Amino acid sequence: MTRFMFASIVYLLVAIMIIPPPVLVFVMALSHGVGTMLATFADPDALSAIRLTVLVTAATVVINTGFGVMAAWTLSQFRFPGRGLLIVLVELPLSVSPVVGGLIWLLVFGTQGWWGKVLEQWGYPIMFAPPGMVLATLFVTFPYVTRTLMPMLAHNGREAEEAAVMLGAGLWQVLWHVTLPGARLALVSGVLLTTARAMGEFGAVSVVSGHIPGLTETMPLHIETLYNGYQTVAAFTMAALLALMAITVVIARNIVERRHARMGIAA
Amino acid sequence: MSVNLDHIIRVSPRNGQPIVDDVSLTVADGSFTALVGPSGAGKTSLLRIIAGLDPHQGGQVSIDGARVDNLAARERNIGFVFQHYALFAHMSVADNIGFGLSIRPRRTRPTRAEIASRVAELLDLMQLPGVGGRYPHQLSGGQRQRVALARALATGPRLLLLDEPFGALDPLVRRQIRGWLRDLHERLGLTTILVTHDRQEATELADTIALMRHGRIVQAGTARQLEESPASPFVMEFTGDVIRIPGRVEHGLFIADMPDIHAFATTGADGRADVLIRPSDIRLLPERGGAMAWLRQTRGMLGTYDFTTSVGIQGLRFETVVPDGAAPIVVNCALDISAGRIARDDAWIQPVAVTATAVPALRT
Repeated sequence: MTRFMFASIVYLLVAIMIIPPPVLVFVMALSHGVGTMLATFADPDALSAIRLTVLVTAATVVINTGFGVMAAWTLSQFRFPGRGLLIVLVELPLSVSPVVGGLIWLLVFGTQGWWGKVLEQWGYPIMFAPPGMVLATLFVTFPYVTRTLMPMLAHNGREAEEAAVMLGAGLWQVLWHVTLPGARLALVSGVLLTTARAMGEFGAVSVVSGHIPGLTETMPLHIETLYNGYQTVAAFTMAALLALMAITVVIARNIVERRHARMGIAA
Repeated sequence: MSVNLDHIIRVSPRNGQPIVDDVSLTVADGSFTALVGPSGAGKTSLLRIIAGLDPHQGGQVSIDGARVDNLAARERNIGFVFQHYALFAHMSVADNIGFGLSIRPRRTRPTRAEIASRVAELLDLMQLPGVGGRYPHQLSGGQRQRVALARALATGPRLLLLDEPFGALDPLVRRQIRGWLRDLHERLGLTTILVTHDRQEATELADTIALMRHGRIVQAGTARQLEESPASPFVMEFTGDVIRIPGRVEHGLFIADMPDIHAFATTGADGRADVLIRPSDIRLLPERGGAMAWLRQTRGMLGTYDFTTSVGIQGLRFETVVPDGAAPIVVNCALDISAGRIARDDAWIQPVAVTATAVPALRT
């Protein structure tokens, strides 16, 4: 009985909090018919926003997967002074507001900042340009790969790695053939989490982008611009597309996990 | 390949306590040596130092006369079998076994066909035909252990190290694999060092046993040497059943605290002492004292006696050989010790077994 009671409370919460927003987004997008909705994609600014989102996400995922793997491996492989502090630092972006993250980059690379002016004079502007937006997204999504990978590496332990070493494997061979394949579920999970977070990031990117339509607007930023310009249908269409992308990633993550569970990798 | 350990010291990186404390040991070429001892004795640490997996702070490790201290673990060409198999879960059995060959640099790497034939050969040797395509989680514990062994042998190591390889197996499989491993060792002639806490396992498998305690080797030798001339009370207790009776040495006699135990002559200095006796060296003498012995249970030739002295509360339980038709209760008896070793704290007072001469029972 208690079980049903708790289940119904959870269902009720989900029904109120989780289900309506995406449904509403799709309803609003379709409120003036399919034609009006599709007309959104005729706007070159919209296409540019989609392109930039994909670009920033791809760059972020590649870089943060590399960093995340390195951080997780170092932190679980070695014991060194300051290790605890490093773990806290890796997790910091989770607790710092993304806006603050963006401001930090602005401070470093902005025209008032340390290197901003020099880089801009050389023709490599960081702020109010895609590189800055990638940096901001990197900061926000930094912990995900590391934090999903570390418990898995700890759980797998060192024995398999040591066995590989005794068989003559070098550091990279151990990482590539034993450590990462042994933790691939966690790795894929962390990568997909990073992807989802990077696609939807607003706060940090907003600070460093400068909101130049067609140039430095990702989808979340473009949605805001459209909404503030009373282009409701276009705004919700973009939002629906973004939601669809996120849902795809979440489903992908579930499929990976389920397949993994079926293979029974407990051994 | 022979292994020579010379004054090896390793201290715990956490608290600075010695884990391996000045250990020297020579393992002869082609021998099967067991490191035995209670848990925490430093057996596994010593094995990991030989493998190069753990650093040591003092002494040197030589293999075939050449120092290997500065050689990384991967360069030592040593086969290592871990307690929990440590198989690569995401690889098939064949890929597991072939791993060591397939990761070699291109110059020295065998072709794919050569690796496959080596894997097949090893699966045959391990009596595991046809499992090459399976994954570790589809195998039983005994099969996994043999796959781990095959993987360790695939690269043609010069030395094989086994870390409690049977610890996670059920007793029946354990006994099978044990006999089979001994056969394998005889066939391959590979120098092998085994870590175990099971003395029977060590006795059955190894030619040389090194008994460890508190990071030191207490005694090394054949199983027979350890049993017949134990270097300390600890060795005697580890190598077989022991009855330990507290007492004291006085005027050249060992006198037990309990009455009705015959005293016997010793050359040890006066003071508190224990006598350690093998169960076969103890006898009940009816009508020679005031104690009572109750035969609690028998198992074939052996029986367990509860020995209660005339004072009443002091008791002793021991297992010994029981003659046919022995009475279940022996009254008015005394205990006669035909041979024993006298110890004070953790050392012998007298390094050889004392054979009791006829000394009249001391009634107290």
